[in-house]
Amino acid sequence: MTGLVLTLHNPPAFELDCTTLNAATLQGKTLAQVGRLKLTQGRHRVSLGDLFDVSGDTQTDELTLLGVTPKLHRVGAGLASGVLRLSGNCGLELGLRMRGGRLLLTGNAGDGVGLGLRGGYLEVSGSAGDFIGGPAPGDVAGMNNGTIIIGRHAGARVGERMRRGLIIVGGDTGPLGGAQLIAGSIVLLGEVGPGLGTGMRRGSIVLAKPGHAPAATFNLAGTFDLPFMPLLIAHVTALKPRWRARLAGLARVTRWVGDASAGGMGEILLAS
Amino acid sequence: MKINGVLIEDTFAEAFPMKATRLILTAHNATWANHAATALTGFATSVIGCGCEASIERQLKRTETPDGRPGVAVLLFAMSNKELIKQLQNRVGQCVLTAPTSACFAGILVGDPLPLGKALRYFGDGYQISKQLGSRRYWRLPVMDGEFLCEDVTRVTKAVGGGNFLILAETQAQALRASERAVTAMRRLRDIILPFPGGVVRAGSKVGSKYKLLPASTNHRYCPTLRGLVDSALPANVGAVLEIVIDGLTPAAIEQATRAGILAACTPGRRGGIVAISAGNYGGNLGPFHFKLHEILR
Repeated sequence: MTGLVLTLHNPPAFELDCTTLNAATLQGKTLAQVGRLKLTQGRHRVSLGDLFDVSGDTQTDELTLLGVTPKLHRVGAGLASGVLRLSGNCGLELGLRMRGGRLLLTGNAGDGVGLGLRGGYLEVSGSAGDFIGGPAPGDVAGMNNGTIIIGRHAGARVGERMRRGLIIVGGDTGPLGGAQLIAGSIVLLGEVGPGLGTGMRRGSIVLAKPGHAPAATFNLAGTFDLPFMPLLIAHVTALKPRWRARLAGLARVTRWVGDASAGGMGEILLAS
Repeated sequence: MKINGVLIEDTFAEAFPMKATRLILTAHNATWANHAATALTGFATSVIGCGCEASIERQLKRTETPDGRPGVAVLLFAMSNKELIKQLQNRVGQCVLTAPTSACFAGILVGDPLPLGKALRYFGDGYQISKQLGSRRYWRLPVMDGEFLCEDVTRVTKAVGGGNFLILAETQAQALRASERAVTAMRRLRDIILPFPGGVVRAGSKVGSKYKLLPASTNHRYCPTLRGLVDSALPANVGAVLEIVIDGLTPAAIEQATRAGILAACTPGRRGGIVAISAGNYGGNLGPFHFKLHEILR
């Protein structure tokens, strides 16, 4: 394990805002200085060293957090470069307004993964809650670039109001996936909940599992060998080689255009 | 220096800097990829009159193309970024976009961007779709056979144009046969193109003309029918001269191609009617790249 390592030895009883926890803010500090860094917990400020064991090297742009709990929120917020590795089950708004770098969580995440994402690569190996890649608080549009991968299941409203970028969910997703989608691509490998693409204006929702019946506000265009699909399959396979077989059906897709109630310029592509 | 009895003149080819890009064209099968590539690179023999020099670089296997279909790599060379952009838009728009099942990708991934799909997307009339995968952006344009997929930009690189050598033979047929051998050998190489028809040019030119409207005119010193009339550069036993012009992405690529081409052209030897190998230059005043034949063949 390279870089700075923070191991949670005193799990917080209350919600902890971890916005400042990234390699860029810690880089170049001594381990003692890192331990004295203040984190916001409710209306209190707590020292990082009171909660975490600090070890490793602060000269790199890599940071590892071990033993993360759902009380830790906004981990990786604003991440612009470097690598942030997390182990455990994370709280709300993981990677909020992240702009670059790589954020890798081994475990599950709460609601709001990648809200307002502007770039970079965010991967959750387990499941995640609602509003993945949606608008950050105060924003009109959702993620604007970058890639989010959820290894297992996702909650409701995946990619709501997403503007650009790519979201891939390996498992099942909740209702209203891609609701009010503005643009970008959402690839869903498992079962999808009702209301898929409700109010979507543009963008693509790609379903690797055949059988879904889009809502009445989507119109059937036909079944096609779209030249873009091999590129998408190759791209997803490069990110997640173990999903190769599940993507095979996307070589030929059925295209539904919609949502007609919102201009109808979006598409749902169904594996044939 | 002699190779198989063929005199290699102690001279050099003079070449000049150009801007270049590579496109990868794919289609449902190799036939249609080649139709697109042939149309794209048509009327692109010389910047003097065509705006750019372009040709097929090589055929690509399915494993070498971004979309896993058969493809063709083409190289385009121009004197400036501005001209290259203009030629790209016109040629891809008229020749690739229109070719059934085709798709167009960047073949050079570093350097300043040149708009490709970024400019052609407007053909989609608002129905075009932008897709970003990693750092690369693509445009999906609805067309009558489905969709035309085109990468947003390609990249420009510094390149070298005008590498060349001359094959001096006793007869036209002998010069042609030697040229064909040279072209076959050179087309196995990467990073170069031979932009003239069949890779060979018979109308080698010199800079300027007695007519003010012409920037270039026939290289009269190498025209065998003018021997006795002008200060001919040709020995008495030379009845035909053919030139092979080489554009390359690097000087090293041109050197390698020149070497392969000359060795192949000399295969018939002096007995096969090949008298000498020379090269076109302008006394070193035209371009900074000098390809000295003896050094290349050493």
